[in-house]
Amino acid sequence: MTYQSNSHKKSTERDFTDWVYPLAISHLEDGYASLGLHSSNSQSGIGRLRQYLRMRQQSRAQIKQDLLPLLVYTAVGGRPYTKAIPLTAVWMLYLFAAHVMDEAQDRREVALANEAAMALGVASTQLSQLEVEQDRLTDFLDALGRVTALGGMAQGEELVIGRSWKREGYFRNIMAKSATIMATGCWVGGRLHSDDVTLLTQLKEFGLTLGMFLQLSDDCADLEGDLLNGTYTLPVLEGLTMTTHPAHKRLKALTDLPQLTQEQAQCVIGYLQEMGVLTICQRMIRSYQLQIGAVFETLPALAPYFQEYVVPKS
Amino acid sequence: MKQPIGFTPEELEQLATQAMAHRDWLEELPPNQAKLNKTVIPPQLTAVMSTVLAFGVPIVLDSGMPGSACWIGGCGL
Repeated sequence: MTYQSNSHKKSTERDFTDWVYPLAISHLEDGYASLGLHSSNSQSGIGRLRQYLRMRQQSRAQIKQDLLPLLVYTAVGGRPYTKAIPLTAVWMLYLFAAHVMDEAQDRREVALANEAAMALGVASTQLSQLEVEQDRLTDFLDALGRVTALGGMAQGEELVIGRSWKREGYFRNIMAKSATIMATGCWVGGRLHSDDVTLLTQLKEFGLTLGMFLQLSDDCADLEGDLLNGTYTLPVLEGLTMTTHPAHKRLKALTDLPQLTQEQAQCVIGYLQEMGVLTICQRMIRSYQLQIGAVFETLPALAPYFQEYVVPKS
Repeated sequence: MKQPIGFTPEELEQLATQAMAHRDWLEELPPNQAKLNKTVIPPQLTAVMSTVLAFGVPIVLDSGMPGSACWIGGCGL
């Protein structure tokens, strides 16, 4: 299954995301301003949001994640594009709130939770002002409320048991956070245009798969950083299950330490390479990639926006 | 007409269990990458079951590497 990228289409899609992203940001900032949340401090309120958005804009992948509802809305036939901007701005605030909560946990700064609450408050206000039918608005409130609650439950579980999960806990965690968030982003974009149950179910599943792919890929890419943070993700968890491998004892000795130095983290990575955990991780990531691509067979309009997620390495 | 998304903790638990089963199935595949070609993922182990079942789209494993992992920053392994 291959997707030949059409350079003209790619240019069009790039132009589209380039001009619509500032519109979404402008809507976000208006939301903060309308509630009087001005701040010249880069660490709070709109200042923190702007700092976060500057970081997001450095990566095309993150811009796409931010615009997920709008891209899906457009892909399933929604027009005009601008109709999806207010909802997409709400979505971006939810992503921002989730990012701040993760940061609060990583840095053990409880006060940051106030920033997340502020973002969600602005999002709720903007959501209530969406110009859509009542049933559609109810569904948006329900979907976004659920993703916040489920993510909050997962975050709460992390606080209790830490991030050194067993594999089952790891999958539960990434399903509750990353996969559900992406599924909700795709679903609300589709719901803005349609009430077709089959389509919405497909979009929900597409988003779940996309979220799993992104999180697993991210966990493989950020292995050293996660180890230094005391977070054990799939590669480490896979290694810890290989109890008969000669490197297992050395791996466990290090992962049992309360904190790793950089040198120790490098040792862990070396053991994992020795143990060959790469194979199962790559198979999982590749499997989710192929599942994303399968959805293009029935929803080909998604392909121009998401095909780069499924292009195999040559 | 309302069409709620329907996520519940029970559904997430089920999805996590499915992801584990998917992982276990992948582990049992032969180590030879070439033999993976044309291996169809069982529909009940996919996260896109409605696409697979409702539209009859089989998902065939291949020996391609997950190139997009490198696109987002590379695989640390």
